[in-house]
Amino acid sequence: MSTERLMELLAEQTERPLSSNERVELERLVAHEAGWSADDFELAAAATAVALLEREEAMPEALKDRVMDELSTDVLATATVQVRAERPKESRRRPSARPPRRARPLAAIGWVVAAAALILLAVIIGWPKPPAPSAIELRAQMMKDPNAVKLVWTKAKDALSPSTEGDVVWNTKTQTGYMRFKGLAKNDPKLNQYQLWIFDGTRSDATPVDGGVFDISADGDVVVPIDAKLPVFEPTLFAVTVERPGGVVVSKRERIVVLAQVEG
Amino acid sequence: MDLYGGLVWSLALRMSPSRADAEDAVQEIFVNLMGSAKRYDPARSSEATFIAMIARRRLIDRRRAAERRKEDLATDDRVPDRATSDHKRMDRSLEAQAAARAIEKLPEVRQRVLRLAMLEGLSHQQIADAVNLPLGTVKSHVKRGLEAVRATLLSDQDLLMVETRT
Repeated sequence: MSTERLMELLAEQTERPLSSNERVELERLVAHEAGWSADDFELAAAATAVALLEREEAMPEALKDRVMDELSTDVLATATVQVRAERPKESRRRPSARPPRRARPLAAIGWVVAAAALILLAVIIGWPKPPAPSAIELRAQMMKDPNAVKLVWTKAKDALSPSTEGDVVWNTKTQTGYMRFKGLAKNDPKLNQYQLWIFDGTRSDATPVDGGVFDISADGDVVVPIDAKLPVFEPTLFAVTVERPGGVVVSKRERIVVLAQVEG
Repeated sequence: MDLYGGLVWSLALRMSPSRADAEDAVQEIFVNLMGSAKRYDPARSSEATFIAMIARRRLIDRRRAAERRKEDLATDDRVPDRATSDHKRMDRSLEAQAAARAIEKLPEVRQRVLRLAMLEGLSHQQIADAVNLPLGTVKSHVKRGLEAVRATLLSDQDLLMVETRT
């Protein structure tokens, strides 16, 4: 009879929150009925719902963003501390009729459960992402790659580059690269911008590949990632020109500030 | 979020009166999951089932609260026709597969009651009205249906334990 009453309360719990009296009664019954837990039917209900769902709708990206905004880093930190500090009640009163899936020392259960909870927490919101490496770090990494070519800039006669030094490193395999400048004059983006051109041995010299528009806004060493608009198969020459804001499709090559030529 | 966002969103769409309400519910569920994660025990359920349980609990609470406020559930903003919306086949957890096996063996009327109760989130009284059965009979179907699902889940867990030990 008490098992029937227990199941009644468990079934009611899947439909509505129990009253405080019902909750007390449920806890009392669970304590006396071996093999039962207070959320047994809720887990069964969840498995049933998933089984009947059949189709999974993709969560809208905007909603994902909204939820991620809500789950701030502070919430993660708070929850992590709580997980470490508390030992789950369910594991303390696990019914003897239902042992855990794997035999393990009792002392480890708390840690295992806490670790699992942490993993679940991480699954829910994702591990905190490490900061993205800077262009300087990425360039340093590329310098160690045997597939990358490194070329030193040659100065051209332009007022913006009286004493420019630096280099360009390019990896054809990954189609990525970085330019390093020292001494290239700051530009006013409202007046003009720098633009990289990559000459490709498989293309005509009249139509070099646009390597991206960029600004110089600081003194000292500046590293700029290359943003090639088309694949470059055999780079032969890198050239930086000064162009109107936004860059151009075809450069008149009137103001070339630096060049780097691939030998051979 | 990438792993279980679709599951939570799908349940919310199914059990919410409107798409806007489903969006609010999803936000609330994930915040709630942050606090509930410490209660997760991998010996008792998969992550998917645990998350579905928390989601379902919140959705039921919201639905009952809305019903108490006598809000109009039949709005124009009703969830769109699933036949035309972007969806993919559920990658069911082992527990959901076990539940499906248990449900298949149930009488048709009990299957229908379980669907309305567990997936659609209807109250027992609403189900009684919908299928024209006495309230007590609906409650009995829910109880026996969940008992059968639970028994299958436990049986599968026991099998898993035996496989693990051998």
